[in-house]
Amino acid sequence: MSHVDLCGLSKRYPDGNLAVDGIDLSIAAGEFVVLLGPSGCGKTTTLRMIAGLELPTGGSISIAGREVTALGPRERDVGFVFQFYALYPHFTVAQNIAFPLECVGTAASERDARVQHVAQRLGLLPLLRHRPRQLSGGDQQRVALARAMVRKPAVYLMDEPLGTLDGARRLEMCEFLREQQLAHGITTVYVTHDQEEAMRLADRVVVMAAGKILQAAAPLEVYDQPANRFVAHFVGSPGMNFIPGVMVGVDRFRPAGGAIEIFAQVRDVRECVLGIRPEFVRLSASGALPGRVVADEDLGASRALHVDTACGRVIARVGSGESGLRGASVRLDFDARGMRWFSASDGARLP
Amino acid sequence: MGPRDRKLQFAFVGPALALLVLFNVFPLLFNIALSFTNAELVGSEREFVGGANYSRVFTDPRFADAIRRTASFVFLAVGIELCLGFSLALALRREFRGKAALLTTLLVPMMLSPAVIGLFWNLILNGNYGVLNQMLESVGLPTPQWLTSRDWKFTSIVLIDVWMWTPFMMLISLAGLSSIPGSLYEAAQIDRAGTWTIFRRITLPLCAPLLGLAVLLRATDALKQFDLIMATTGPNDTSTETLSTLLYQVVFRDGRLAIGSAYACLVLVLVIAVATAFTRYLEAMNRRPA
Repeated sequence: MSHVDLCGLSKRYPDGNLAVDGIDLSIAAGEFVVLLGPSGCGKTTTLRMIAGLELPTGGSISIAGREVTALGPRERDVGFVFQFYALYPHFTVAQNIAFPLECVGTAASERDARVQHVAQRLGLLPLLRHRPRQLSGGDQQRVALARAMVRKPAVYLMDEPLGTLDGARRLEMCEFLREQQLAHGITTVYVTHDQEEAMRLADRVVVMAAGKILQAAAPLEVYDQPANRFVAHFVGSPGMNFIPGVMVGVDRFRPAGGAIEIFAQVRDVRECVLGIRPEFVRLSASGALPGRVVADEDLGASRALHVDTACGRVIARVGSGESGLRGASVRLDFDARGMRWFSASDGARLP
Repeated sequence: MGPRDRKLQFAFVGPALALLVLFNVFPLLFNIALSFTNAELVGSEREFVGGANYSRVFTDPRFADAIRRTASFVFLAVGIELCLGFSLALALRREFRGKAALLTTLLVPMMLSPAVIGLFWNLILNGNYGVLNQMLESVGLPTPQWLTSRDWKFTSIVLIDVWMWTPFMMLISLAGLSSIPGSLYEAAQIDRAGTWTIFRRITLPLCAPLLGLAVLLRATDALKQFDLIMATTGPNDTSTETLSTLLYQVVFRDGRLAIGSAYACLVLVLVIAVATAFTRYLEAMNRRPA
């Protein structure tokens, strides 16, 4: 069990691109942390710096209290799962899994026993004699996982390991990963751009954009109390609705273009943005905001209605029974419990 | 496929096929036929003599000598080229300033005609006025007759061939090295593999199939070595006599066309045998469990 500390970590590539911009993050021993963000936000670079595959241009990294900033991957004791598996194509599955043990000089008999053990836990026993290219993507990823797990490293680092799998396999692997991690309590840093995966897996989600950490909190908190508009929009599907407007009087918010006023406890600003998740937008006969349903998405357990209103497009999540509403005129109501307020200028959450 | 399409097919393939038959298949068959006669280069009388030519060839010590010499030439030249070329490729795999210019320079020997190269090296290695011996003399080292002394001329020709074809091995090796994805090296580092382990367990086995192919191409080519020898020591030199120069001597100096044909057939069989054995080996290597 090892904790990982990143302190003022930066990476500037030779071409001048600042991929990671001075981030601070403390990962507790046994914690499952997911770095979440759009492509190019610096999450993979951060992970690769923890692994030692990239050297930082500023700041420091320590694993289990040991400063490792300038050390190569060999001296760090990490397990890394690559996005495209990076299995050795000329080795069998068994040889792939055994390779980390071979490299540290584990005796052949113990090596075999540990390969068998890990393979059994990951359901790879029937595949041990196959070559990677004979396996499906999901199986290859499990081999990559087995290779990372066989040595019992201090930290697991995973770079979008499920990115190439299809939906069903992905869910299955997510559950499996979480189970394994909980059972063994090995500190894990996991990179993904898929917010659903992040919510499902993480003890703590770290949302990144443009090389900076925007918010690091438990999944529910990130969803419910987003630190800014970017996080609010990136996390959740469909994303949060944003309605810009101005404050009139002490506690009344008037949406731009809207003839309605909403009770708001926002102080000291004139212009602000109301953020509200689709599940807090309700259809109600007495609703204040009239609109027309322009699209109707079936999400399985619920439906997303896209409603054009005077305040712009608003998405409402309704029960799956409410079908056939496209084209209908409806009235919308906002649930005060779901209202979040953001600065109109920088998108920061208003208290 | 309609009859029109079929005609079109023949129209496209026909010319190439005709040329192939005219310049490859016919001479080959004609050569085989000649090897069973007593044909001479000059004169048109020829009779069927059965396997007499072959029994003469097999008992000729010159033939056995030429085979031995050719084999050691192939083994030495291709072996050194492989080791040297692969080492060069390992050294040049990283990006650095001026890499393109350096690679182009290194490839020049391969692009030149062997006859021209023979002339170059004649000037360099000449025992009396060659550049090499002048340099050796200036630092007080012995100055052997590189191309005329019995002890040195075979070695000299091997070295010239190495100089000429090492770039080829390097080029193929570079292609092999660059086909290994960088993520494998990263994975190996994560797995705590040392530099030597990475080389032995990852780089080498993943390059091996391509290197094998390069060795096959070079070996079949070196088996036919002729032009370099013609351009340096000349054909009339038993201590550098390979199968091809022996063949040339038999046919064009001695005018014994039929015996030459028998030699040629045997060389052909030999080359095919080596190539087949080698491709089999390569296929087996690709399929084997590592």
